[in-house]
Amino acid sequence: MPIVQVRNVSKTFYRDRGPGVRAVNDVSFSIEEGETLALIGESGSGKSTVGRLMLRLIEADDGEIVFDGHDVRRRSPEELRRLRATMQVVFQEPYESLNPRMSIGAIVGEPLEIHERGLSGRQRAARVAEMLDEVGLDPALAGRRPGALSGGQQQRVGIARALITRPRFIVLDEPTSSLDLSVQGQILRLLQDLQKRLKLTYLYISHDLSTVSYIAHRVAVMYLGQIREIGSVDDVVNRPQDPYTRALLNAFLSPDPTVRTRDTYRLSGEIPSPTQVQRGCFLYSRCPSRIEPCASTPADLRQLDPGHEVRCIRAPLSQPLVTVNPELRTFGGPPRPTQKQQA
Amino acid sequence: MLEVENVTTRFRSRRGVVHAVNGVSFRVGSSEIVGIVGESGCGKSATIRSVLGLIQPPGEIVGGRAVFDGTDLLAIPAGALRRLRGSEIGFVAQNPFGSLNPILSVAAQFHNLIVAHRGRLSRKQTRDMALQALQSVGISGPERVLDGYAHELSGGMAQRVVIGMATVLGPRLLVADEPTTALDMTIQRQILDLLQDLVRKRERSMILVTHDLGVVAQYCDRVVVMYAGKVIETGPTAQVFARPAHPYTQALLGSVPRRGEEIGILAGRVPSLIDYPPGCAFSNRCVHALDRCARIVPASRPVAGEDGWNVSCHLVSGDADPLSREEDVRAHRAG
Repeated sequence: MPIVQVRNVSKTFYRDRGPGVRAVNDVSFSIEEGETLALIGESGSGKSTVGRLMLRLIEADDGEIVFDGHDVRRRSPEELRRLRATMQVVFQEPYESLNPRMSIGAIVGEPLEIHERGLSGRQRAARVAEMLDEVGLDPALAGRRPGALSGGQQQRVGIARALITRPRFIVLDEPTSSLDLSVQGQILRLLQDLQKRLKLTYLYISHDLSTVSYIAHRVAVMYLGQIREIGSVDDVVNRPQDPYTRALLNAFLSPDPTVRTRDTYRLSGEIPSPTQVQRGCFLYSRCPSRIEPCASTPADLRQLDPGHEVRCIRAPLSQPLVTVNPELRTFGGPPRPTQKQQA
Repeated sequence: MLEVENVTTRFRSRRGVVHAVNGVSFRVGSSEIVGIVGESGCGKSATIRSVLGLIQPPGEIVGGRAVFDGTDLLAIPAGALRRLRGSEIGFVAQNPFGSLNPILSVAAQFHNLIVAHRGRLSRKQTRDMALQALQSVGISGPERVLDGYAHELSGGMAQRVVIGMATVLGPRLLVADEPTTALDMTIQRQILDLLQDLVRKRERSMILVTHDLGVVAQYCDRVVVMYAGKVIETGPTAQVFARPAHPYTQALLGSVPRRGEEIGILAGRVPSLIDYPPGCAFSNRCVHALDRCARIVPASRPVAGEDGWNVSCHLVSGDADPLSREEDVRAHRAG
């Protein structure tokens, strides 16, 4: 039973003049309890907007967002407030999302003032200390301000703040993309560990394939506001059927120098303006595998295999569109360096 | 082509002197792409800015040499270095829009650049050179781009224009500081392929500064790994990635996320560059650290039998004689 369902959600942003930008275009997916779904795409694909729509940080134009049996879009403000305790978000820039004038303790404890008003000051401090410990921070840091912390510690504070109301679902919006590689590893491990212990459900928004393949169970690839392909990480990474997914995978730079990933399958040009209305397949203007009907036939998501949906009308092909680089299947870094024996 | 030796750069701050670059040495051979890699604050950008004469007060280069084609870039007057930069050495920064003038057309910027280095040439002559440069960086419709302005360009196109400007005078060395960090993945790949082509086809050399191990693995012949303002390991990319010698290089490569495997955890933090530690800067985080590591700075030594592969670590064989190392280990275990 999915804990979250997104059904046919759309959102258009309007400027003062000119046509609107259709940032999210008829997007549907569901996430099972305890599962991580990754939304991957390049800038302007609409992936972050989807996360914000799900939490009603912005209002959708159309569609349903069902969380735990409730339609989030139809909740009254009071009901929404209660629902928000169980749906939280962690943002990309930890420092910018933390008030520099507040102490770490006050930042992490703040959601309790809204969601658990009955707590005494002492009870709240105890919950904050417990939460800091949970995310691997010394509870003594509660008195410090965000500026005194490293980037990794700041992101742990962001995670503690999201977790303190005991949510069940968390939107992780590029939570590690501003962090150094060694710190990124710590945060990913923490997120994975918390998911197992607290049975959390994640929507993991990212443009980085290596973190996605590490943390996600399923992945949805977005382009111009649409999902191009959705399925298990194994399906999408090892048997990509949509040309956009393939181009994205081909652009991946393996950190293993013995793996020569070649950029042989390329989209032409750059992402068209999202204000331009596309008649057929949204990828038509750039697609190396396009055929004539693609210009006029709208490409709809359809199921190829159970749990694997794709938009390209040519899929599945008896011949693969390109030979997917076999090394991409392992999709990882170099062989783990052998740790030297403790001398 | 370029030999950097013992370059040391400091910045004065209110809290004290920041030891940003501490005796950095590396070489760039002809037709070679060298990657400088490390995490934020490791001094990779400060190093190349030192070499290119782009350090401004409160920063100060306090020592070292950077010999380019027989000329020490750190010893020549600022004007002479400026003339080399742009003609003999091209520079591509992370943010292309920071390198482009928003109120001059692209053609006018090419004109100013070319005239500054080559003297009086007509608009027509510089335009022809600019057209050729834009074609070589894969811009279709270069006429239209030349008559346009920076704000009309996408990020990927703007970076192509910057690369066109950096290469229009045929420099022999190209220095690119995180040239694709601000770009999307598919565009990143195109830009890196383009840079590689420009280097390989014209027998130039390139320094690629990056935090991305994928960029190093796929594009760099040799790698310089930096930590806390020092080069801790340098060598051919294939060897260093397959058998990293320095514990920090090992930890960095171990931090790459891979499906179905635990990510290696590197605990602790980079030391303060103001209270710079006396011994190995990595010793406080190193799981293999011996007593001497916190006290004595390890010299850069060749990794056994490998040409051009050097590491600064007391633990790597070839550095200390085995006996004294044994003593260290015993002291370490006892204490």
